[in-house]
Amino acid sequence: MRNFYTVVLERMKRYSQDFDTEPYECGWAGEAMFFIRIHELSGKDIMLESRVQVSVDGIHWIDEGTVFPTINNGGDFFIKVSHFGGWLRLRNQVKGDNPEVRLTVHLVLKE
Amino acid sequence: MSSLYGFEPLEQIIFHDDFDRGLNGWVVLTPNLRQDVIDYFPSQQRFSDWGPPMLSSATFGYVGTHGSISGTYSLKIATRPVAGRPDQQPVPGSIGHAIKRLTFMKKQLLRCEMWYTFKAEQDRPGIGERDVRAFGFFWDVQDGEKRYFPGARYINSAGGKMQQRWQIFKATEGADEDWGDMGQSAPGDDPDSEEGANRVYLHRGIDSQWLGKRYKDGSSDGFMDVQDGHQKLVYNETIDKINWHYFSLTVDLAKREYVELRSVNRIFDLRGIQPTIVDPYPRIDFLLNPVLWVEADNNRRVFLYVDSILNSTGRGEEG
Repeated sequence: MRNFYTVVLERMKRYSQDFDTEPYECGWAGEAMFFIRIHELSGKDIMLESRVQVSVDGIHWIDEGTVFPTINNGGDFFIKVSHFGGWLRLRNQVKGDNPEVRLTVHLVLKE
Repeated sequence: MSSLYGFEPLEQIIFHDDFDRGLNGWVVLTPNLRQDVIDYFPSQQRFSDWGPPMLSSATFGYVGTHGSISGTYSLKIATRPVAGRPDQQPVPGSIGHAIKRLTFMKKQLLRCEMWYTFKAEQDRPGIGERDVRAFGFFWDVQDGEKRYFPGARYINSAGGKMQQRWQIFKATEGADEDWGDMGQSAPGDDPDSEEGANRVYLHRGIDSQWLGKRYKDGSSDGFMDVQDGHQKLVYNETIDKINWHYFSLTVDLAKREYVELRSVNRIFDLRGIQPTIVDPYPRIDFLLNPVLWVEADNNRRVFLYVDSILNSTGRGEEG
């Protein structure tokens, strides 16, 4: 049976500026999904642009190449990633005029 | 189950987690959800940002993978790179927290043993020793009549000044109003009633890891210094070398008293000392929750690594 773990990286959290999720060690996992749930979204022309990053040490980060489609409305969104080494995080850009987003980010890991 | 080398459990092992097969039920602590909306009670929002546990290979950039004592993985608890002053209550994200949720059957001796280490993040030059404020272990216990939190904390640094001493959970005398949180923390016995007569809130002695008035030297209204409890642990000589330490805490659930704390080569006799004991809370009779946490003293991530942890129970030598 394959090991499985879901971690909540951001929990109903409000952001009005760019942010990165905290580094999460997941070298044991062979596949991952990031889920973003948008609880609230406000501001003119707001856009959330999120992309996956990998790291050799949890400190220095490089774009992995997987990106979310631009998010500009509420709802649930996901991306898949594999072959990622020891750490994962999401780099998130919050764009628009007085933007604010309230969101939850899940990282879903499977061996 | 792998070797029990290094452990001296009581007669009955409750769990032995070495983290080479998973997280073993350890999860971050989150506030209780409200009855009316899927959200947290307003006064509890600040407790919704603690760092979650993860399986770590203890990999460092210029060393490689340390692994664990008898495998690859340990449980790692991480803070965010934030910290408040030592005389303030912890700011959101400045603590990493892991909890496992059980119940217990017998009011007898209870022991927690673990092999652990701690470190600051290697994100800048410098050894980082002063950036780890504290780490510890406790149980949240409710025995049907009373609730209490027996546990121990190593206060390593406060405001950048090394402290390096052991403390146990025991609140000073005083009022709940001075404890730091009078807001509702859970639904009452009647979950549909408004906040009022059966309001549940955090009494003095509950959640000492972040509540209670704090002072510049790392002392706190929530903790009592262990007598002769000063001890220099092995931080090692550089930011990227770790050494596993032995920890053991024994309490007596029948007497609601501490028994003994062991750390590396030291044994601290705690008999006769009680943690702070409060009236029971709704819905948690015979709850037994072991908890681990780590707190930052600077705007830098700090980590508690637990190679393995064992809880056991029994009557001990006196039985």
